[in-house]
Amino acid sequence: MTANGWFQILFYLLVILLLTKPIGVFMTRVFNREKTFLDALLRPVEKLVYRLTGVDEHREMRWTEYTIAMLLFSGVSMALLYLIERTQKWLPFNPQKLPNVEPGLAFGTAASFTTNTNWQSYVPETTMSYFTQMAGLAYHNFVSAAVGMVLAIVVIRGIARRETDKLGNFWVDTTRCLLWVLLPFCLVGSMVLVSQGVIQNFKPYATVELLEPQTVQVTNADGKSSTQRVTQQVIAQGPVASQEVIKELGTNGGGFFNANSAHPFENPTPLSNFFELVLIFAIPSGLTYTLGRVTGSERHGWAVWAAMAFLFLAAVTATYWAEAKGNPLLLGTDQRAHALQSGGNMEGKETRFGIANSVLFAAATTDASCGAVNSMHDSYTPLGGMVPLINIMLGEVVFGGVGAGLYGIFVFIVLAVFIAGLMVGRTPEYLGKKIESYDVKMAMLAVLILTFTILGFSAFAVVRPFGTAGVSNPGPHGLSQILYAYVSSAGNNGSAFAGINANTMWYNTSTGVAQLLGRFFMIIPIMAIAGNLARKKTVPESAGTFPVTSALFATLLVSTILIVGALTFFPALSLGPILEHLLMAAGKVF
Amino acid sequence: MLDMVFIAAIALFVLIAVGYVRACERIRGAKS
Repeated sequence: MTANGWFQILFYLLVILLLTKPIGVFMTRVFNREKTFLDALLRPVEKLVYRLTGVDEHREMRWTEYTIAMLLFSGVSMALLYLIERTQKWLPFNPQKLPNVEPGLAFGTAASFTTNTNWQSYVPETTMSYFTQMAGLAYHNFVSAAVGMVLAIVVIRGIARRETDKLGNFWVDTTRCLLWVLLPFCLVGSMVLVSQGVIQNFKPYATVELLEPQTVQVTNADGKSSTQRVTQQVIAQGPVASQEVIKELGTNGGGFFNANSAHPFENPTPLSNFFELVLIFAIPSGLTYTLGRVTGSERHGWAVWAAMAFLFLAAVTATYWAEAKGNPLLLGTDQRAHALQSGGNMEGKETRFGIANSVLFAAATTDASCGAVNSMHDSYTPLGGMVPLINIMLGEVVFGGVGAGLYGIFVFIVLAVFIAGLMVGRTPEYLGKKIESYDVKMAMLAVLILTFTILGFSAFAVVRPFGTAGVSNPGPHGLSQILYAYVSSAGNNGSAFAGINANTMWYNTSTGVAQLLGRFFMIIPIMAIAGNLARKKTVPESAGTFPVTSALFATLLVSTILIVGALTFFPALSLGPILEHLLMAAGKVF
Repeated sequence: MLDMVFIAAIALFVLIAVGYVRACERIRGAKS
């Protein structure tokens, strides 16, 4: 670990801290329909959208109607993406003449992008046409992010409102989120990325002569190997910048290219790397301030932010330590960081980013439900690779996905307040609302669906031949690959332990189902809590009220998150990365 | 054929999820 590396990590957290209030205030104004500097431009567009779609912007919905509207919208959008993938051969903007996507992959990808997961078991530049990328995938990058954000806003309204069953209008909230927040941010952000060298074009792929032609061994169809002289390279092109910015801002994570943010056309400079990192946490961090502001307790918003920041720093520290130490089996090799090398374990990492910016990206992308990567997590040391896995297992509530992070940590807040109430023998209260058995039952349903999906699918996959067929490493590392696939899917993260070949009918369909369960079956009980809280009266604070603005609350919240995560997943981790680490110490690698 | 299976699967999932919404609401009603 170097001072330079730590400076960059802490500077990043400082920038996120400074952005939290302005972004949080802006989102509060947007969703409360207060005046913003964009109104003169966007209000006429918004009114036109409602006139064309027949939406009454003043009619609010109960939680059930709001949730069903969201489910129908997501279902229709998912079916539409499936059809685009299946017909891309006949659609425009396909200069490479790519064939239609095969059904299993089209289903998995449609589920993946609808649920904000963006798990990609295919090579985008050789599978998806420009039309599919823009009208199918990028569309979902916007709307799945908007859906997550408006659901977080509904949870905040549920806490703030009293004695009502109305929580807003799904169509109005989603339209405002897209028009006021995501589209303007992305317009400016894509310009920043273009200025750094991210490409944006509709050209066919370029073919160039290699400066140093290569001779390679290839395996022919008959299984025999032969040598082949390679003199040319195909360089993929495309409308990348416009998709890159929403990839991070919407915590989607699906890359235009297979190498994701390690590709120089997606992430060309240290500045673009820093900018992309800031985009990942910008909205989730801002939403903590929105929580505090709308509920009338800004200190509560900051207490939640502090709990998240603590867990984030813990994750970065652990990964940085593990990766900077390097591989202990490379005896006699200089693995120290100095002027001539990054030091540590550089397998799977870009030399231009080094250890610090690779582990910072890995921690941020898995703390949030982003899934974009600038290094390959499969190549991390066992403990270094375990941290991204744990981040997702904890529910991605450390800033988290856009909206998903906030409504995810809301579940843990309910549990933390409930535990605090049990300790002192009083009915738990949260910002003036009594937390009752129904709220805790719903919170547990939200927690259990992730556990059930992750461990259930993983257990089934490790004992079936079609589950283990795609694994590229034996032993505990292979288990980690399978576990990571379902953790990433159910957690709607989308990053991969890149060693696994998941482009099979089993993995495409099972990860697709895991993504749908992890997204929507978690959201439904959370929305039920929001609806239930909104109906309640506010009780005045008393001497027995557990304060949710204190360091004690932040500590209890962190403890609840860690205990629930540890109790659930430690057995699986002990058979995967922990066992791999112990075996590595004994001289065996996989 | 597979296309129809997958489109039907999407529709079925939405239906089950809507049923889950109703069930969560019914549990609350039963409580009060």
